[in-house]
Parts: sequence; structure tokens; C-alpha cells
Amino acid sequence: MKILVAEDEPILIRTIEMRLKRDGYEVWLAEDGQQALDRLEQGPPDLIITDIMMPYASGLEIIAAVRAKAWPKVPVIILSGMGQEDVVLEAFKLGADDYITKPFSPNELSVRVRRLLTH
Amino acid sequence: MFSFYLFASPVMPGRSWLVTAMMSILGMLMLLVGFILAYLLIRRRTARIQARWRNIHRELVQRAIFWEPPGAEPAGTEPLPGEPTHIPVPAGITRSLRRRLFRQVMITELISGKKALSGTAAANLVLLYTQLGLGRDSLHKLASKKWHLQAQGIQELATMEQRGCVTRLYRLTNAHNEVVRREAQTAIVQLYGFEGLRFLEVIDTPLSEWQQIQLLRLLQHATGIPHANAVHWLDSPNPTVRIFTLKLIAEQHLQEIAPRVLECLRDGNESIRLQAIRCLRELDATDSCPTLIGAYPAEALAGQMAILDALGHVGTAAEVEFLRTELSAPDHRIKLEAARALVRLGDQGLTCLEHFPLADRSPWNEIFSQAKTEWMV
Repeated sequence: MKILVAEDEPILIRTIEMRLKRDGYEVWLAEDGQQALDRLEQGPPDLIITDIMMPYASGLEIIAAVRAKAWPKVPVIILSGMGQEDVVLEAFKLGADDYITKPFSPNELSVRVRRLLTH
Repeated sequence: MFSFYLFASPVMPGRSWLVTAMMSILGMLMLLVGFILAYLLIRRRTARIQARWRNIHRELVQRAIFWEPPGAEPAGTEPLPGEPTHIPVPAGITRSLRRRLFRQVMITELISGKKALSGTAAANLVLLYTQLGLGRDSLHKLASKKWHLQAQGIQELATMEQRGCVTRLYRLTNAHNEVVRREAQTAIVQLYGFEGLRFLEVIDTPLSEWQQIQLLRLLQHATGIPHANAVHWLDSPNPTVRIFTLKLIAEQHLQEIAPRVLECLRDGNESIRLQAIRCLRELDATDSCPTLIGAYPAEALAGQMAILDALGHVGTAAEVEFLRTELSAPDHRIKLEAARALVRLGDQGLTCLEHFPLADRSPWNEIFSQAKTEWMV
């Protein structure tokens, strides 16, 4: 199972990578929005975890790009900061499947990923 | 070259000072360029070393995030003798942490991780911070004469949940510098919730509007505010403390303190009276209506508008008559606020508007229509 993680916070992206690798997933990393969009050109991952606020392209743009492709539905989890309720709602409108608010526990993220991949 | 020989020529001895001056300037320029080059070189080298160590420290932080204490192993698995009870730190990193620069790199990484993570991961980062004795560095910053370092130290201690340094932080809640003061107050409340608000008893500097919002946000989900303290803060000689307390009482719905809030309607400070009115509105204190109406004539426009608004929220049929008289007030803003209050009171208020003798005349017809439309929206 391949998971694309788009997050510009170095410590966070490595933490998510480590957690997901421990769970046995293949992890694609994108340290900004553009890298994530470029990565998507190479084919669909099984799940996407994306931050909302990122340089070059936002998480919302990534969701829109994924939903615009003729792929089978790729689940998307968004990482949001506190007080970003409006953006979270916008993300859901665009087709996000779940969200997790920072600060979050890597274990909780792992459970949410598993849940989305098994459904 | 030609000009140099011209100036240096013994034929023109009067020009020698010019040559000396030019040479000195040239020398100084070369020295300056050399200095800048050396500075840039050192800076680049330091940045490179820092980046290398940042990566090494980051790896340690990653390992700390997923570290599990021996006790966390599956039931029945006893920790082996000599098994570490704290996060193992490679000797190289321990050595590097003798340098302040690297300790700061480590603190920055830990803070960044702590802000983004929660649960066991965050607890482990706090453990590593404590284990490496980095709290000493943060505490050291509090003693700095530079306000930005003090503020940074406070933030670090609060983020890393260093409750042991409460005395040092508490002292800074009344600091001369506004940023330091604000950070210390925020840190104390972040660490101790309502208990941290003890600083309200000592501060003689104003609590800015922004800081009040910040503190209320931090206390949004806190429980167990001591009522006695809130009453005590309402007696503070600092008007901004009294205003903040009124906001806190409203936010926490401390109905029991409503009689004391009513007393604030007699306060000499207009802002406090205004806040007390808003607070009574939030407390839904129906029995406060006669006192609000009693205070009405002495209030300025802002106070009167606030009272009318409060009556719309906490009033009953008993207040309809008072509100009806205000529909004839000379100021249209008062008329509108009274109409809004009547609409909010329900059937009796609406009936009052319908039977108002001038209801079909301008400006009342427009005002009533506006109030009704707002209510429907």
C-alpha cells in the first residue's frame, strides 16, 4: 500500500513517515504542495495525507487535483491546525475523507489510516 | 598608475598627503572586504555544521517520539537488568550538547515536535528535554536583559510543560516589557489553567484586549474556576483586571456571582459598567432587569444601547412597558435597539410593536421592519 504524505514541517513529515513505515506501508514524501502534485503525476497512491497550508500549492489544491483525475477514489486525510474550521469544511466539500487536528498523536493517525484503507 | 606617479612625484610634494589618504582608504576598504569575506565564510561554515547537527538531532527526536519505556512492554515481559529507563542518547550527541549553539538547535527541534504532536509522542519529547537538562538553557534566557530572549525562554518552558519553574514565570507576569509580561501570563495559564490566574491579584499594568482574548481562549475548556477568586478580582484596583473578570464570569456562566456583577453597574468606570451589562446578558440573569432599568437613565448612549440589548436577552413580559417608552426616544438608534429587544421577547413584544400608535409612520415602520427582518435572519 502506497501512502503520499504532503507536509512542510520537517519533524512532522519524518514522524509520519516513520509511523507509517512501521505499519508496513510504502511512503511517498512531498515537502511542499508542488512536490505532491508532481508525485501524483506518476500515478495514484492508495491514500493521501496532506497538510492544508503548504508552500507552492495548498492541501485543498491537492484534493482538487486528485478528485479531477479519473482514478478510483483515493482516500484523503487532511492535517489541519486549530481554528481552521472553515478550511476543513472546504476540504470536505472538495472530497476529503477525514481530518486530524494538530497537535495529534502518530498512533491516532495510524488508526485512521488503517480504518480508511480497510473500508 | 599614471596618476599614482603624478601624485607621488617629488615634483609635487604637496600632494603626498593625498596619496597617503588614498592608500589608507584603500587599505581600509581591503580590510573591510576581508572582514566581510571572513564573516561570510564563518557564517556559512557554522550554518553547515548547524544543518548537519540539526539532522543528527532530528534523528534523536524521531527516536524519542517512538520510544517506549520498558514498563510499556506487553504484560508479563519484565524489563531486562540494565535496560534503559530513560531515552538512550548517543555519546556523540551528548558531547555536542556541551555547546550552547547545539543545545539551542536541539531545543528548537523539540519545541517544533511538541507543538505538532500529542499523546505519548509529546510526553516523550518533554522527557527528552528534561533528561538533557535543556530547561536550564530556557531558564537562563529568563535572566537575559534582552526581552526577545526572555520571551523565547518563557515560550520554551511553557511548551515543554516545565511546571517546576512557576515562581520564575510568575515573577515575570508583571514585567516592565509588555511582550515578556504577556508571554509569562499566557505561559502560567497554559500550565495551570484557572489557578494560574493568581497573577491578576498583583499586576498593576493593563491587560490588553488582545491578551484578554488570548487568556479566555486558553481557558475555554478549563473547569473549576474558584468563585471566591473571581469575586476578589472584581475588587482589583486595576480596571482591566475587573473587565477581564467580567468577561470570564460571562464566558464561564458563573450565575452565582450575578449579584456581585450587578454592583459593577455602579462602578465609576464606564467601560466596566458596559462590560457588566454584557456579562449580565450572558448570565441570563432575569432578576437583574429592574437594576438594569434603574441604571438606564444615568448611562451614556453606548450603555443605554447595551442595556436595551441585555433586556432583549434576559427580559420578560415585565420589561415590555419600559421598552415601549423607549420607542419614542429622540435617538433612532435607541428606537431600533428597543424594537430589537421587543422582537426578541416574543409574542408580547411583537404585539407591543403592532399596537404602537406610530407604527405605520416613518421612521417607526422602517425600524420595526428592520428589527423583524434581523430576527428572522
